[in-house]
Amino acid sequence: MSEIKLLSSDQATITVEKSVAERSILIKNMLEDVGEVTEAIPIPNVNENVLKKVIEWCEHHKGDPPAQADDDSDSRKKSSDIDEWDQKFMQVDQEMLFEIILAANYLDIKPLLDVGCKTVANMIKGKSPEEIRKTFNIQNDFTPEEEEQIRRENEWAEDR
Amino acid sequence: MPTPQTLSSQQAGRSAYASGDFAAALSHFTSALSQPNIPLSLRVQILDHLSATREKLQDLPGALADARCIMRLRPTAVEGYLRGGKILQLLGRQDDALRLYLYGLDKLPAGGDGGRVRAQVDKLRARIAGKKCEEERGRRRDPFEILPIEVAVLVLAHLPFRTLMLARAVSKGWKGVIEAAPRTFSEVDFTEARRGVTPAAFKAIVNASRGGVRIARISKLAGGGGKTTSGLLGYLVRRARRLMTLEVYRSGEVDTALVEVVREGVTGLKLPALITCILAFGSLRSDVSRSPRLPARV
Repeated sequence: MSEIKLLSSDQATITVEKSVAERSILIKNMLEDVGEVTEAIPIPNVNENVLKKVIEWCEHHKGDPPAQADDDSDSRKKSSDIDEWDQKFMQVDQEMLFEIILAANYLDIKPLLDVGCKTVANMIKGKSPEEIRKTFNIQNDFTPEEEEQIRRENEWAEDR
Repeated sequence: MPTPQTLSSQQAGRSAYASGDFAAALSHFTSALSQPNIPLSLRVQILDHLSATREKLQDLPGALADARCIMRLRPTAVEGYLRGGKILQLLGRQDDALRLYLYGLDKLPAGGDGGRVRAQVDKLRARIAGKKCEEERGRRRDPFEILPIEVAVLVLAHLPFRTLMLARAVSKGWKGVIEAAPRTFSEVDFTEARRGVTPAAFKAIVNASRGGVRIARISKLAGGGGKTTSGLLGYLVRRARRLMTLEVYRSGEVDTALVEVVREGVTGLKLPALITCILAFGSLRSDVSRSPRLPARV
């Protein structure tokens, strides 16, 4: 079983099974382009902590069938259907969650990116604007007039 | 009666403590406690001194053990809880300290020293809340400031229309990201409305969509006469030239006038993309979709 080395942004070398690393389309394409490599592949946008976490995900999902062609139908995707292992995997603080999403985007690991986006969507769903602000520590920067305007337009949508 | 040695050792310990010689204080208090026949209240007092001394000597587990000893000997003595709570806090166990204070409040006789414990509870609660708040604020970040726009759009794609509309009220940044995302208005869906959609709200959404509506599920229009409804539908179809699906849900009786208006409007406008057009009244539906040129059958 062949292994390759990855070099994180903070100069840590991580050894990983080639088939696991190839969950990343970026790495897969790179390996196809250069053929055999002995040196560590630099992953300049991802630090060691995050890279390890991403590899953990890839290892767990290495047996998964290849992603279905994205059915981009107009109906909105259901976001509650995150499998149990992935839900646990995503129970990290927000900083790590966003780092994982950014890494999945950069490394081109679509299913992981999808799980990350669903996790963020679930943090938004069912919350009032004020609750969303609290969840993500966001300042309300609307003027009272603007706020009133939006409130009037949103009345139909508000729980209460 | 306590022996004279107990009292003199206690006195010597206090002087040593006051002069900062904690090692000497420790040995005096320990010796005081080793005497026989010490009344309970005096024993509690000396244990309290001993605990304070150990705290000064950085022996926190020992100090905590002394405090526990007081609680065990005399559950109604305030010293045990105050001392124990302080040590737990020094050990970084704020939550345990709070639990201990609350436990103490339960044990202490009413009208006694409970107030001192109560004050500690309030102080500690404020401290815990402040810390938690600070910690979480440090970790919490606005996802739409961190994630690039193409990823933000992927997040929004998982949210239903009603949630998206509500989330516009979070901040200017969110409003901008949500309204610019191509999917946001592609599927306008009022079936999840919590109360009537006013004409002004309906028009505001149609305007914000900039012609991007492809699927429209209309229900719960406020002031819901057939005339208002057909007026608003007209407003929508004139501005949504890429409309593929139009579904209108109304409660009550079949409104043939409305069917006629929609049919005419839809036919007259020749919306090139329109495939499905359904009007539903109560449980009855009229599928105008097959051929918009034919009169709708309800």
